[in-house]
Amino acid sequence: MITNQKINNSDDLDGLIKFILTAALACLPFLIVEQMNYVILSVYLLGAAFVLRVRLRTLMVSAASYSIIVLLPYFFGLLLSSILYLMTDNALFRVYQGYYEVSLRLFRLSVVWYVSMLYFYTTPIGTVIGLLDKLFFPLKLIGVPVTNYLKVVMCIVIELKETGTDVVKNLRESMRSNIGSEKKKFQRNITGISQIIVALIVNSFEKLDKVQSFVENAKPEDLYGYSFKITKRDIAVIFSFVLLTTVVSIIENGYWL
Amino acid sequence: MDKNKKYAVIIILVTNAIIISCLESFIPIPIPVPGVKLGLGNIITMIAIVFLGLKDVLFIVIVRCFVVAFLTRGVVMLVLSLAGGILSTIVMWLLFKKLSRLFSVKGISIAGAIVHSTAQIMVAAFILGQAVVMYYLPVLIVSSIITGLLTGSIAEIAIKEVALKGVFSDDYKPKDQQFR
Repeated sequence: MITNQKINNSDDLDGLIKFILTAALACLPFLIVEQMNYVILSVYLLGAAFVLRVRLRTLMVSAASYSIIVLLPYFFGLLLSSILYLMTDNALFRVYQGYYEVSLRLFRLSVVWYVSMLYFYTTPIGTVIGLLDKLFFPLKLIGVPVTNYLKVVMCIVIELKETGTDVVKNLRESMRSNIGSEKKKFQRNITGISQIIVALIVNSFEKLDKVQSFVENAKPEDLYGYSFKITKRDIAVIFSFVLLTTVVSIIENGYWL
Repeated sequence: MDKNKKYAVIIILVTNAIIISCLESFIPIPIPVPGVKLGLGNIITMIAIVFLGLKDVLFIVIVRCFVVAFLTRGVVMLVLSLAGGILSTIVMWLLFKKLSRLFSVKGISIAGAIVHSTAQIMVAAFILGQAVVMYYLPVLIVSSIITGLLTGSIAEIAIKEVALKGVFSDDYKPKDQQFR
């Protein structure tokens, strides 16, 4: 059941400062060319994950997702293209980009992937939505119901947090008993699974009135919110970022030689 | 439909889409292909296409992409999901509204799955600045036909059940209130 609970817990770092630093870190690999700086940036980002207490499992899952979604199709294409080029000697199949350029692009993309994952993982959703509410202020002026939309997003998150885990757990149990033996045919499994999914969809509308009443009564300020606050930790993080950019800039300009 | 009721329907549909997506790992795929998902969340998009307007369906798809990005993935995946989700929704909506005599729910679902994969791989090619990723497209298209057929079959049953319940009609009352 949905409850009117405030999800915006106390956060270690200010959401806006963290957002600006995330954006700056995502842009940084596009501005540097020295290989030493890539190493420094990588060490800094790994250190950030450690300081923000991101679990190793989360990092591994994210790395696996990146490999499957980005690297696998890319290397598959590269392999196929090389084979076709070797077999046909047709310039159409030749990959013109050098391996260094390709590695650089993949590294840059992985940094964007990584820092955005760190941001979303370590920032309470209430803070992110509260920040979006403030950032989309110009849209409100032209009549876009931003607050209503963000309220809907927050209600979904609350609903998922309140009931999602239990529902998934129950459904997994149903699926286990349904899929059960491996001897069952795929077709039979699918029929069973479709029954479970259809029942979930149809039964979920039983709570339509409850959800509607919550949407009517919930005030945005009770669901999400953001207010700027700066702590010693924020200052330390900003200082570390300034230090990083200074070192990177020195190496880029060759002053250290 | 009343604005708040519509929002409540959207909340329920998006929540269901995310919950159903979580169950995908429990469904055995005969020939697993890396990077290929069943896309069970598409069942919810199909239901929305049948019962709601394009604006609401797009809102459901966009909100789903954002919530999943907030909860798990991050910005790059959000861009890929949005591209695939929005384009496939528009294509499925057009097929359902304009060519439903030619396309069944299964056919529309297959078309949606193909468009989804194609859009995602094109965005990936653009981000990487490399067309070589397009070589993976035939693999994804073949997988999309299978997964689209599967999700379309489930969506077809779900749409019939939801229509029978009259969930999207203005006078719908949940079961526990029907006899009061």
